[in-house]
Amino acid sequence: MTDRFINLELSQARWLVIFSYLIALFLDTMMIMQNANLLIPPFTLLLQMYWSAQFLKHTHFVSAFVLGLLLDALYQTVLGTHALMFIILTFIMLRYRLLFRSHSVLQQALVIAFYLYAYQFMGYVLFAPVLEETQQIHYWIMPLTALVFWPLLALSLRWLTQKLITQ
Amino acid sequence: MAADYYGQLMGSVRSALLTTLSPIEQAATFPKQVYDLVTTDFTSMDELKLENQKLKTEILLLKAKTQQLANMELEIQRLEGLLGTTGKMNDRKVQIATVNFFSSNPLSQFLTLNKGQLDEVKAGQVVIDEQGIMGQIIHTTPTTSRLLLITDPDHQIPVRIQRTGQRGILNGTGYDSLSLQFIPQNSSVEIGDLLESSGLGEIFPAGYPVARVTKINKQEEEPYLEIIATPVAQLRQAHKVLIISPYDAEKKP
Repeated sequence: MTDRFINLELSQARWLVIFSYLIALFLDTMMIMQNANLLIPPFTLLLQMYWSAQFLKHTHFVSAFVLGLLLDALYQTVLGTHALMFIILTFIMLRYRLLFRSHSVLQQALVIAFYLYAYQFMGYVLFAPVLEETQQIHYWIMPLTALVFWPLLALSLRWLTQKLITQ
Repeated sequence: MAADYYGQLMGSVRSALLTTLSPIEQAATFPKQVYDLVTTDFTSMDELKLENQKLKTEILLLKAKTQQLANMELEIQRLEGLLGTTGKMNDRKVQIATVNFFSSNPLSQFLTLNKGQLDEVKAGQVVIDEQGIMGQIIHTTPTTSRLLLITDPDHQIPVRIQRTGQRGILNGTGYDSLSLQFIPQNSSVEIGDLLESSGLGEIFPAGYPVARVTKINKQEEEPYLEIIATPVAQLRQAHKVLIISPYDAEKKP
């Protein structure tokens, strides 16, 4: 089962990938209405990172670009800024994805926290968000919440993918 | 990015993206709607909802007219003095819309309304609630439209102080505050002064309440006062709003 999971083809889990992106967009849209949204990481980015590490034969730039554009429309930011940020982070992930895959889930969560810090920093520079004192704190501790979200996300998606390919 | 930032040339692309997101936005509000429904008393719910809806609509229309009437007296005094050189109050066509979705994100302040291109809503139209101006429509999809709130950091609205007629520009600063710009040090401004739309720029109709002055800072080295105001419209609570017809539509016979 492990070999099959390592050599996973995108065509084997295409619908799972699409469905997971839709769920991630749904969650991000829900979070926009909540006051605590600054503490929650963007699920679309987490999904993008996860899938770009799983399917080794693809670059995932198209999905990064499209998801970025959708987030630009969702957050009412200049078109292309989220797309650019997603592509940069996907590019870095592509360079290190073999190493990333060799880590345990908790180690991966730590790496993802660094990616999210890069995301927050780029967002801070590009969007110059208006933040009050407590919101500043929330904004910069958001990447640490990946330590909670990433294991849940990675383990559940791994389980689903394995179920799918063993069918 | 440059095309969108400098020229708004990507309007159709953004509309297409918003149309794609529209069902997701609607689905995302579903859990909140269910929660609201569950936490509401179910006694004669249907009857009460219908009656409430009807009354709310009537109240909204009446309050919108009252806003105009309350300002009319002061407006007439000014017009008498200026022999009709300032903007005049007219009856405008309005559409009632419901707020579908809102953003509490620090990047932008907007609402999504349930009226779109099919209802002839266009970018640039002004939206008010029963208290005052909320903002303007910036993007439309066939069934929804996006309303940029006056508190958004990218939003500016020309206003005047109702008591004195002093004109200025009201900038959004994010969340629930605004900053009144270009008011000279020697101007008469007091905390509690009502700021109303001046009608300059012909986007916002003149005479609608916008904000109330809450803080005034005077710094000797600066030529202008630093004035903070809070919007009078219920930006966070409004459920039903009015979309006002633009100037061009009004001028046609």
